[in-house]
Amino acid sequence: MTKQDFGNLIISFTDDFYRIAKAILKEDADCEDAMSSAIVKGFSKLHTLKKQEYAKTWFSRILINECQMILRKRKREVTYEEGVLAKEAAQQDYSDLYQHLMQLDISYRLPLVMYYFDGFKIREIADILEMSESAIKMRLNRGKLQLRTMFEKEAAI
Amino acid sequence: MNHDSKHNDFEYEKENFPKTPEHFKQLVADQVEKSLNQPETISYHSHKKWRPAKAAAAVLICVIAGSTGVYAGVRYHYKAQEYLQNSGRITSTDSAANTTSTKADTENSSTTTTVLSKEEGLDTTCIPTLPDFMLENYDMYADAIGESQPYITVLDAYYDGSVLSVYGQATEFGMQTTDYWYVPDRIFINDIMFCPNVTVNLDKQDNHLEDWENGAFYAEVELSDASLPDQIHVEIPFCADSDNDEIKMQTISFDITGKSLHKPEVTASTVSSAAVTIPETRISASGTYFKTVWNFGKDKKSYQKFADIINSDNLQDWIYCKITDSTGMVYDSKEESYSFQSIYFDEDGEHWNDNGANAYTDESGNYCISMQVIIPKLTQDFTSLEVTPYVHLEDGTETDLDFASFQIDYE
Repeated sequence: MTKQDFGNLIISFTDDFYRIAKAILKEDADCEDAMSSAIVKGFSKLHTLKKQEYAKTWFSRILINECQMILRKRKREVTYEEGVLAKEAAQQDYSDLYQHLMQLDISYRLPLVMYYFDGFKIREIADILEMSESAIKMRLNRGKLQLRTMFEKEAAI
Repeated sequence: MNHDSKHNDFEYEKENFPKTPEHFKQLVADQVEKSLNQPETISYHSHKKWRPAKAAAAVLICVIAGSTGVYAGVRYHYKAQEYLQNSGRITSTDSAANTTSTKADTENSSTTTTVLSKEEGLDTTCIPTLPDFMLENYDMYADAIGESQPYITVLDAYYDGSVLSVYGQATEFGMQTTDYWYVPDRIFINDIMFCPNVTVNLDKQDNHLEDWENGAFYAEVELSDASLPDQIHVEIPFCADSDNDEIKMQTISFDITGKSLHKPEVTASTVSSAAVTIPETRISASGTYFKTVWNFGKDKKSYQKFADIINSDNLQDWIYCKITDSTGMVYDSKEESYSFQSIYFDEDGEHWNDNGANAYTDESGNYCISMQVIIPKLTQDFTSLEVTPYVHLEDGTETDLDFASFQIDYE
């Protein structure tokens, strides 16, 4: 794959990559940092990409690694993870769906976003997240169930 | 990419996900442009190889140079066990209570947990450095400064040979510095680095985590598939920024002993004569980790019956198994398995594992299926197991894969 083709791929799938970063980090500034680092690393390691058809999957994994690096470096992360970001999401006038997604554990949230919003296949998600396909299925099912429960509880109030 | 809307329950909501901001798009375009025009290859840090001998030496030096932390507020909690019960990792309060013992009791039971508080001899040590692996592999800690005052005190810990749970509380000094903490996301056990689930409540103003005190620390490490002895040495690395932008570092450590039953690796044959291998199985108070590897040789047809389900994009299609032990108890992985993920790094590299199944061909081109589950309720010893995998489809129909069923006997 040429550098130009790789650049075009990144630009054409910008929305998908934004959703992945946003599912992990949520803060737009952090998403930008992660994406910026991922692009630099993607270009520098492009020669290790063996098959062009895996470019999007390959870059997604780089991006997720960068997002997770930012998560690790960020102080007070768990507090954010559990509550503050959910509140911030609510304050920023995001949709109900996104706010509920943000309340899910990241292990459920990320596969849901990749499967339903970015259109990755289960096999691709399993490859990117380095998990078995059946584990991805389990997380998608349980994540959906948790989302549905949240909506039902809200509707009952 | 799968854009088949019949699977997409959220299709109608897709527009409700935050749209890509224009400045994000611009940043991507600018960064791509910059990278395309970058004449030189940009290199970035890669991890060095694991060096266990050096790591062990470093630990010894650290212990000699370290100081024992001075803690305040010793309390009796057993929260470490409570959190495992709440998460479903151990099955019930009653079951846990029956099998739980203090360190002194572990000699007399086949599978016992160890739940220790500081009052019962949980001796923790604080040393002003990090495990060698972290210093070698993470540039950000290269210039870190040792901090002797402990950030947390470990109040109690649970270990049963398969899972470790640690409950702690920020010290007075720790509470003064929580704004600067890096939440620890690594725990070292016998020099092997594990990725635990860690939760810390650092929010002084708004205690939004129910039942969590400010400064509470909880870590859970899945150890079912790691070959660890019953006695383990646990190291929890901590880092925090200081006012002058230096990174402070320390490691809180303690020893703890659990007791699990180790069943040796066994082989068997299925009804259709395929080879089955059950690697060493560990029975503990938190259940049994059970891995099965079917080797169908060149029999692709049998393999495909698993692979088609495992690789299906239909979320509802799944492979489970029924396990009947020698006492007649039946465990169904659909209802009674625990959703786990274990990640650790040792001299052989990275290990990622989770519940589920994999379809693959081995080095000799044999068609293989592996399946791994944790059954929390299977806590008693057994002399034999009958295993029957089955397919569950979206419409609710379930079909036993009798050709792949087998029985194993332990001597």
